[in-house]
Amino acid sequence: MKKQIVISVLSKDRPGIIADVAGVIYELNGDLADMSQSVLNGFFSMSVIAQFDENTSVTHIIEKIEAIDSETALEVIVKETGFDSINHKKEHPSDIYVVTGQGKNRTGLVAAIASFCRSNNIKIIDYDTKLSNDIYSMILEIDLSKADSAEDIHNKLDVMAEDLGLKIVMQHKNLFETVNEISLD
Amino acid sequence: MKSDHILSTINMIQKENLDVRTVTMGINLMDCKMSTVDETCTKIYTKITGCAGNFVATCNKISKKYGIPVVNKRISITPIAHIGAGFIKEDFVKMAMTLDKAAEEVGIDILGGFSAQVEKGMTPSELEYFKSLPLVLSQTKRVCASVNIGTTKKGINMDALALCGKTVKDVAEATKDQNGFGAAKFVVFCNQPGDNPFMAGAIHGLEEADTVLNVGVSGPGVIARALERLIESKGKNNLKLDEIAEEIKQTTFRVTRCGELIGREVSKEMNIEFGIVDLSLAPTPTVGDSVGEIFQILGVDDVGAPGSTAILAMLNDAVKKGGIFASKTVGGLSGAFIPVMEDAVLADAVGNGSLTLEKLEAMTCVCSVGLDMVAIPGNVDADTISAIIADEMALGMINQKTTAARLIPVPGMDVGDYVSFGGLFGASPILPVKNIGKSSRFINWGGRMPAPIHSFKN
Repeated sequence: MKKQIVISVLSKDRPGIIADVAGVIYELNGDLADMSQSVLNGFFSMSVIAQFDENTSVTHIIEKIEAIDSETALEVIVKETGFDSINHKKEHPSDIYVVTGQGKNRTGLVAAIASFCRSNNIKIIDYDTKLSNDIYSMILEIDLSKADSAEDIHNKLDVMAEDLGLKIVMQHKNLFETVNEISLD
Repeated sequence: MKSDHILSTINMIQKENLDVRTVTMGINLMDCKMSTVDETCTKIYTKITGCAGNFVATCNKISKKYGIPVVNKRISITPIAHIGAGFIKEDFVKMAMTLDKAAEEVGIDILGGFSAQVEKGMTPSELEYFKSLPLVLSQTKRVCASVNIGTTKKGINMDALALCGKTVKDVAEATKDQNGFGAAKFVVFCNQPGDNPFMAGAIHGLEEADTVLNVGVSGPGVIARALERLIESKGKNNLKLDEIAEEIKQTTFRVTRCGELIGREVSKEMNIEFGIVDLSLAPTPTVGDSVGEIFQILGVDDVGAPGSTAILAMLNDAVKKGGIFASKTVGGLSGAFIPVMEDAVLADAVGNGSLTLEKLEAMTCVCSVGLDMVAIPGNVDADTISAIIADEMALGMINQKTTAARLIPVPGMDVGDYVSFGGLFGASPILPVKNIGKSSRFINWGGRMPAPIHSFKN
């Protein structure tokens, strides 16, 4: 019987962090199943899902990672997911829209958008922001399958755009795949 | 998905005038032909309003879903002369009125296909059709007419050609209170495609299914901005023409994809066959939506200067290459349009004398259509107009391509005057015509110009 464990690592970015963590997983006979990592303004973060033997403890994994000889401090969180296998089937709901907002930077924009999504039962799948020349751009992938009609959300977004002083557009995700990718389903 | 890709797609729509220029629903009317014109009109009205009842609403819904403007929703029909076999002039006018009413009912601004295909010969009904055109185009708002008078396979019908010059004059005269606007709704073709979604020359060819959806994409502004960015990022001294052609090709791919997406969705929603995407660069009078501007970016100071034909040849080819890969089925005209009145930069080039009729004709050898939306002096006679059209038809026939002529002899106006039709039809100074009145003996021969030798491939 295997158990599934999520490992999250935060650190100032440097070469070799993934190699170090993957090395520990390999050493503990773990099977790395899925991984996501990003670097934001020089700060590295990574989440890994791996399967371990039943007798491998969470504490032991933490100890091994903390024992890595690293010139940057590695902050680690390790937890059992409670699932026993990886669900490789990705969901493809048909109601994925991309919302882009652009305007002058100010505080509270992310909070406002996130709060809007929560109150309209919209799941945020991905959220990316950019700041260039004090112009703030945000790109969200959202799932409207549990929300009201797309038209209703369109109208509500128009109202919010005016309140926040942003130009906000919501378009179905297919558009961006169609324009930028070769294959067309 | 990369955020850069998302933002560049949004910029194409919001800042560079990317739109789906037209979604055109083709409707076959052959099953509407009855023994009397009144019965026929009833059937036509019922069929169009039945097939296209929710057409505009569906296009608007899909447009909103993707945030891409669908500028025009239009209908093309079986060339009306087929439906009007055995009818007289007054019957054709009645059918045109019915079409106008049906178009209004379903909420579309233009309906194409008040047309005849007479490339080899004409029937008495088709002669009646020609006679009806001045009335039809002056008394209807939404109906557009076109005639195909030549093909590479059949040659050119010179009798029909002579009638075309006269018809252009009569239509312009019948609409002189609108500066001859009626002539902007009449196109003469060689090798007219049966699946072109763009007006005024759209028809629903006899070879097509009962109903079909065709899409015309545009986007000269998108190409122009992409080229400006490329030149700025690489520096004009580090860039070769083949790299520019590649950029046009890749940008066209992206533009065409938008049309493909909208077309597929609308046809799925309406449960009718998706025909083709016509990937034409169709300019509008809006600033930043000009094909002429691309000439200037590519290195001629004015459209019409030496080099213009070569630039257009490359542009037309790169557009086709990018678009063909982007769409399952490409058709229609697919290339670059150079409609003078609809393109502010081309119109300016006419005004400052850079763009002449002769150069425009040369350029049409390598563009996708022909002498389009060209305003000429009102005193140019019918035979001279027929002869200008003859030259344009010959280019299409010999080069195995579509060519067309949409000439507007503006009543009471001459070189130095300026005509404006407003909206998408645009405005331009009157283009000078040289050698007026010297071609009548040629036009008066009539008969047929034989098909060229390379048409005999059986």
